Order: sequence, then structure tokens, then C-alpha cells
Amino acid sequence: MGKGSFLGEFERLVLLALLRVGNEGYGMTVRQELEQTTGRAVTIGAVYATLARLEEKGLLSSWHVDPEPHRGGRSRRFFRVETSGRKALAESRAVLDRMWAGVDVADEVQS
Amino acid sequence: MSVANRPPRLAAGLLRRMLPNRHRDDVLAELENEYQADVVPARGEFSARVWYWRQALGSVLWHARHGRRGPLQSLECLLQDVRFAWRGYARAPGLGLLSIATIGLGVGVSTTVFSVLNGVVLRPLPYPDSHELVRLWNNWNLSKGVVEELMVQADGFQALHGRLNARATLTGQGEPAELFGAEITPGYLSMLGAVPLAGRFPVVGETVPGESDVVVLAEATWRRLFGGDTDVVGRTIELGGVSTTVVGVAPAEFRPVVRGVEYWKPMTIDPDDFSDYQGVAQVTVIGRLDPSAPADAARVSVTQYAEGVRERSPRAFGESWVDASAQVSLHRVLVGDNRATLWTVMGAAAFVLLTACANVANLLLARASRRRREIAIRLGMGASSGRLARQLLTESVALGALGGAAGVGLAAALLAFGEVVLPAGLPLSEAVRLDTRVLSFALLATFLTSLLFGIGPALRAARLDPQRYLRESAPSFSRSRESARVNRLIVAAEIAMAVVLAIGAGLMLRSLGELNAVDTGLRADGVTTMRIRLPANSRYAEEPDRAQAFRAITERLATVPGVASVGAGTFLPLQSGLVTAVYGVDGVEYPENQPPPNAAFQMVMADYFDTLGIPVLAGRTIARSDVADAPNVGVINRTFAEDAFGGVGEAVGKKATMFGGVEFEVVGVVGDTLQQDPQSEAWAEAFFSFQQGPWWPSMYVLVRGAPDAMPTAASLREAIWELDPQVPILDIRPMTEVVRSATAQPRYLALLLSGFGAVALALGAIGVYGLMSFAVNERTYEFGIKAALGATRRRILQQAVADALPPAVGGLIVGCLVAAGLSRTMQGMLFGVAAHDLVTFAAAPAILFVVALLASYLPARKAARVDPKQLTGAE
Repeated sequence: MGKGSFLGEFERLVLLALLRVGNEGYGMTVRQELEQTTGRAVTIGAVYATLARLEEKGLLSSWHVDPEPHRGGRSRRFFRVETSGRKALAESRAVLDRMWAGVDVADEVQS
Repeated sequence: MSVANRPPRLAAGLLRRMLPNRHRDDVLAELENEYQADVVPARGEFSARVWYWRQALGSVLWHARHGRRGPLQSLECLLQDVRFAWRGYARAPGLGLLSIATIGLGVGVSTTVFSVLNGVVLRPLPYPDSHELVRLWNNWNLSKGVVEELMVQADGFQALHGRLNARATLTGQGEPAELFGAEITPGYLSMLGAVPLAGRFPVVGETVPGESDVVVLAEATWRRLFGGDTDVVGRTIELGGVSTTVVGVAPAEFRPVVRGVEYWKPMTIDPDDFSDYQGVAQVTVIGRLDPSAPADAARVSVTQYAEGVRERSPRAFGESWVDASAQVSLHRVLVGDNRATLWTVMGAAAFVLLTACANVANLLLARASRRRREIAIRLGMGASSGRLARQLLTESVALGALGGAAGVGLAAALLAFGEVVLPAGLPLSEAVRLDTRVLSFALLATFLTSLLFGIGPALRAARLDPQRYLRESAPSFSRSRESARVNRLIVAAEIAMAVVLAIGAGLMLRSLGELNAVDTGLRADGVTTMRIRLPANSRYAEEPDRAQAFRAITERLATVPGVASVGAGTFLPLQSGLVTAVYGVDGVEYPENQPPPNAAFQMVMADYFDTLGIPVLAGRTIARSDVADAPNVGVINRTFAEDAFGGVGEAVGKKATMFGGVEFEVVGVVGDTLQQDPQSEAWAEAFFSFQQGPWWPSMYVLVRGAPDAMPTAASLREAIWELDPQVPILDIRPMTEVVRSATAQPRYLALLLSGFGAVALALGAIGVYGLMSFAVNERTYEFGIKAALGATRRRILQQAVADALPPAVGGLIVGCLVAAGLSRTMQGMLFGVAAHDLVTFAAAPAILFVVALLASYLPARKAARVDPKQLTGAE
């Protein structure tokens, strides 16, 4: 571990959002969670691209769910964070903690 | 789901196109779901749509930036290039703006010209299957009797019809209005594909005198005079003094063959009236070919008929009449000479565009030269030359696109002032507009010019050797030889094109001068013309009443202060619209295989000849004593006298016949006047007394003013209205204006070509100036050294200018050669000037040479003044 690339910021946020919705989410739910929690506008395209990339990296897995019986239901692709994904998150956090140690940005931050 | 809640289709389509396949369906579905379930209820429809668009655009851009290779990546590169180009130009906008303006001028001018060419020449006529429509006996009119027979006997046509111009005054609807219309054979309008907006069109049976008092109105006329009243059909109106029933309205989309037609009536053919068969030739025959008939069937059948007529009446119809029966496509007929003119102007506009291209190419090459350091560095740092070339090309295309947009704006503005830009009387001018084809042309022109001027710098950059430029520490004595050569070639090309345009303009100007110098046969100065049409009411119903009325009018006008003489005639010289008839000379037999002699004729009264300043060559003119009971007399012009009697002196006292046997004695011979335009020759013409045979209730009244006391139009009108305030007085204008309008087209062409020539010259001069400035800038070091070594300013100057001369001279020579080749195509439009007129071919290049010399002298002069010490200090 550690030899691979760092998690991108957005990748990290997507993983976290997915975990926050109970580790079982699809595009829309992840997007809405991201928007609500970060307070920034998030486009669905970005979310999907990132989910796909994370899946390629093996940090996520996905599966299809058959359409709901009501009118207009469609088959959906659900995602969940895998163990490797959790590991990556944990490492990312550890790295950040180390970098944050001793750094004080309180004076410059306007909340 | 309700339709109202569908997400915006355009945005969804964008997503569908631009997203990679794997995500596409999911994204679209999710977005739509969220849109309908959450966003619309929460924010309302408009806000939701905005949200959707944001999502769509944001997703597309994200994929562009972060995705793998795909079409979006190229988009991203393109956006980068454009941003880079923008920054480069924003720093030094002068060059960018100049390029955009130059391209805009070139594209704008050529697009405007193309839109005219498109509307008039390229687009088919606005009738269904218009290629089937032909005119028979082009340039000739036929008599009604001939037309009637022809319609029955001709094969190979789906339909064959005749029309003639007509005028009538509408009374009983407020102010009397004079309407211009047409008399037609039934079925004519349907042949042209018109469908009644209301009511119906004239039918067979309504050509019989007594049954023909029906009329179809044009939509515009119906709206103007009847307020668009829907129950106008069936109403009776007073047209031409006759109670006429309105049977239908023709829609505004239908374009009458003759512009400005406001009504159609059935043509009446009275078998008892001789003038319907032989005599007055006033009907134009238009037909629709039958595509299922054998190719030649129509032509053969018409020729056969014409031969038959000739055999029956060889004195009236000859070989040339038979030959003239050939059909010509209606489009060709309407466009006429304008085709050649318009293609010439298009060629000239293309030259202007190319010159603009050349100028911008030079500008960009100069700029690329200055940036070669930057380019070399980028290459050295690993940018691929292909990428670099693409970036430069993108810059050019961006410039071109902006220039093209400016050009379309210019074209739109020019066309908005249509009457100023278009020549007077241009047929089909209503079809001239910026339609899809014209815009495609503008797009193509823009694209091609961008490529043309962009390819140079792009190629150069791609082949640049970075090492060479990075190692230079001192400015080289000469920039790359190749670049200088290219610049010179471009300038030479610009000058060549300017020469071609200048020569073309020169030829047209000389031609115009010759036309203006042609003797019209009359003295137009000080003469005012007007057309008076007696209303068709009971006061002027009888022919003697009309004669009396015109006599009263002319006598009254003669008493207006400032009036020296008054005359009247049924036709005005220097306009088209002649009516001709066959004549015969007493005692002369015309051989059968010769064309029958034809002469124009008109009725005149009062001092017609005196007022127009037409000289009397022999005998006398029409006098007041030539009344209805007196013997028939006629005055003929010189051409008539020479053709029929062998000379001016031989004609007086001889007898001749016209109109199928009506005899008259020639009492005088007058000088020829031009009946049509200065380019045509004068026709034989006979003048008869209005009192001896008035036909029309309309005459042109001419008033000559005393040299220092010209009467005003108002005073003339008042005088006439004193006699009868109901009489419409139309087209009051000076005779000089009539003469001028006869040369309107050549004048238009001359002005246009001169304008183009001036633009090309200006661009060429700028090109030479720019070339010289640039060359001189590069050589300031060299000049400095030379000056330090003792060369005089004058010598340096001479050398610099001499270096600029070869491309200029080369361009002049090439231009002259090209012009010599092309001017042959203009021969048809020239008058009195040879296509290889030496004066023009010498003067134009000479002028351009002087301009080029000046343009190269000015920057050189600036450079030669530089202090040598300043130069050696730099770098």
C-alpha cells in the first residue's frame, strides 16, 4: 500500500458520500449527498465518471438491480465501497493527519 | 408522466451525444428521475430547467477535462487553443482587428454579390416546375389572332397562353386609382401555378366581348383598395369605366411575370376587329412544355405553324419572324442581360475576397515571424510540431470566423438598403436575400479564406528548426529567405488582382463615357415629362372628346409662365415598350423571302418635335390642321425615310400604308431619336396626328421651359387640374432623368467595379506598405551598419525601394496579362470601347505603380532616418 497514487480529492469525497448513504447507493443518491454535505454544486456526470474510475481501481464494486414493478421503473446500477476502498480512505486520512500536524490555518480561514 | 415535466430536450440531446457510452443511459435516466421527482416540485419548472442545463453542461465539461481520449478531448484542446489565441491577440489587438476587418470586408462584399446572383440567376423561378416554362417569339409580341390560332395548333405543350400589359382607372372607390394590370387568356394563372386566394380565375368563354367584364385582383391591391374585405368576390366595381365583377383574388405568394401587376382580366378577342389578327402586336406568349412529349415536338410544331402563317401572308410575315418563334426559357427571358453582368460582378467580388485573404496572410506571416522565438521555445520544450501547427490553424480559423461573422453582418446591412445596392430595374430582386444557400456560401468563403491565410504560418511553424533560432544571439541580417519570398509573392498577387479590377473598372468607365456621349437625337435639357391618363368616365368616353381634352391640356400648359413649348406623344423616347406595325410603301413590292418592314409608331400633337428639340430634316411636322376629316398624314424619321424611300429627300410627298392598308402621305422627315437605350439603334418610326387616330387615353406630355424660367412641377399640375381635377398626372420628371435612367445599368456596373477596384487598390497598397515596413524593420540593423559606413540616406532609401519594386512590377505585368484574358468576356457589356483598349490597359497599371511606389517609399523613409548609433547599441 502506499506505492499507488493518492486518492484524488473528489474521489475521496465520492467514497465518503457512498459510505454515508449506507454503502449502497447509485448515481443520484451519491450526488445529492455530496451536494448537501459539501454545500457545493455537483454534476451527475462528474459523479458517474468518478464512480467508474474508482471501480476500475478496484475500490468499488457495482451490481444491477432489476426494475421496480411500478411504471417508469428502470434497472439501476448500485455501488458499494470495497475493503480496498475503505483501506484507501483510511490511508488517505492518515496521510492528511500527518500533513496537518503542526499546521495552523485558523487565522486565514474565514468561515 | 406529464409532458410538461419532460426535461429540456436540447440539453438531454447534448448529454446523449457527448457522454461516453457506458455512463450515458444511467446519467440520463437518473437526471430525468431527479428532475421530475425532486427538482421540479421543489423549485418550479423554470428553475428546474436551469438546473438541468447546469447538470448537462457541467457533466460534459467534466468529461472533457478528466475523461480519457474521445471526441471531448479534442474539444478541450480546441478550447485551449482558442483561449491561447485570445490571450495572444488581446495583448496586441491591432493586428487582430485589422485582420477581422479585412476578412469582414471581403466576405461581406462577396456574400452580398452572391446573394444577388443567387436570387436572380441561380434560383429557379418561383413557379412549380419552372424549367418547363418558356416564352415563344422572345423579343417579339404577337397579335391576338395569331395567338388564338397558335394556342389551338401548337403541340408539345401542356399549356400555352398569352398576356399583354394593360392599365385601367378604378373609380367609385374614393380617389380614382390608376391600376397596372394584364389581360390574359384563361388558364394563364393556373399554368403558372397560382391558386386563388378567394373566388376563381377567368375561364374559357370570358374572352368573348361582352362576357369579359370580370377581373381578378392581386392580394396587395385587394388589401389596399378594398381593405381585405372578404366579400369582394362577386362585387361590381368600375374599372376603366366599365362595370366589372370581381371574380377572384390572387395570393401575394404568386409572383406575376411582369412586376407590379395589380389585376388580371380576360383578353377579349373580337374576330370582327382586324387589329386583333394583324396589325398591333402586343401579346406575349408564354407556355409550359409537356415533359412527356418528344423533346423537339414543341419547337417543330410552332415552327410549322409560323411557316403556315408566313405562307398565307408573306407580306406581313417573313423568315426572321419564323426564326424568332424559337422558345426561350422564361427564366432566361426575365433575367436577360443581367446574367452576364452579375457573373462579372461576382468574379470581381471574388477577386476582392482573394485580395483580402492575401492581405491577412501577409499580416499573419509577419506575426508568425515575430513569434518564431516563442514558437522555437515551445518546440524545444517538447510540443509536437503537429500540435503547434494545429494551434496556429485554430487561431486563423477563429480570426476567420469572427471576420466571417462581421462579413455576414455587413452583407445583411447592405441588403437592408437594397435599393441603393441593387441596380434599378433588376428583375427578380425580391428573391435577393440571405437565405440558406447564401449563408452556406458565406460559411464556405470564410472557411476557405481562413485555411488559405492560415495554412502559411501553420506550415512554417511545423517546419521550424528550434535549434537554429535558439542559438541566435544577434538578429540575422535577413530573415529566412523563404519567408521573404513568400511575402513578396503574396504582395505581387495582391497587386495583380488590383490591376485586374482596375482595368475592368476602367473599361466600364470608358464605356459609360461613350454611352453618355451618344446622340439621343433630342435635347433633353429643360424638358419636363409627365404621363397623363384620362379617366375612363363619360367625359372622355368618345375619341373626339379625348382629342379635345389633350388639346385643351397642351394649350393650357402653354400659358403657364416659364413654358416655352408644349408637346405630347404616346411614347417617350429612351424607354422600352415600343409598339410596331408592318408598313408598306405605295408601289413597292417586298420580296417574299425578306423580313417584312416594321416601324414603330406613335400619335403626337402640338409641338412635340419642337419641344424635344428633334430637328426637322425635310417637309413639315404634324400641324393643328391635321384633323380627323383631313387627309391622313404622317411624319417619318430618317431611318424610315432611308429604308423605305432611299433617302431623306425622297420621302416627302410619297404615300405609305400601315395598319393593314390605312394609307397616309409623308409630309415631313425628322431626325432619329433613340427609342430605347443608347446601345440599341434607332428604329424606323412614324408619327401621326393624335387627331387623326387617337387610340389610347394616355399620353406623355412634354414641356420645355424657357432657359431662365423653368416652370415648377406644381405650377404645371395646377394648370392641368384647373381643367379637370380628376385627371391623374403621373411620373413628372425631367427628361434628363429619363435619359440618365437609360444608362442606369452600365453606370451601376461601372460604379460597382470602380468601388471594387478602389477597395482592392487600397488593400494592395496596405499590403505593399506592410511588406515594406516589415522588411525595413528587419533591416534596420543592416541600414544602421551601412549608414555608419558612410552610405547616404538617399542611397539607403533608393536601395530599399528598389528592393520592393520587383514584386510590384511583377504583379502589374501578371495582372495585365490576366486582365487581357478576362476582358474578352466583358466585350458584350462594353460600348464603344474595345476589350483591349490601350488607354485603359496603360493607365490602370500606371496609377497602381505610382501608388505602390508611394507605399514602399513611406516606411523606407522612416527607417532611413534612424540614427545608426541607436541600432548598434541594441541587442
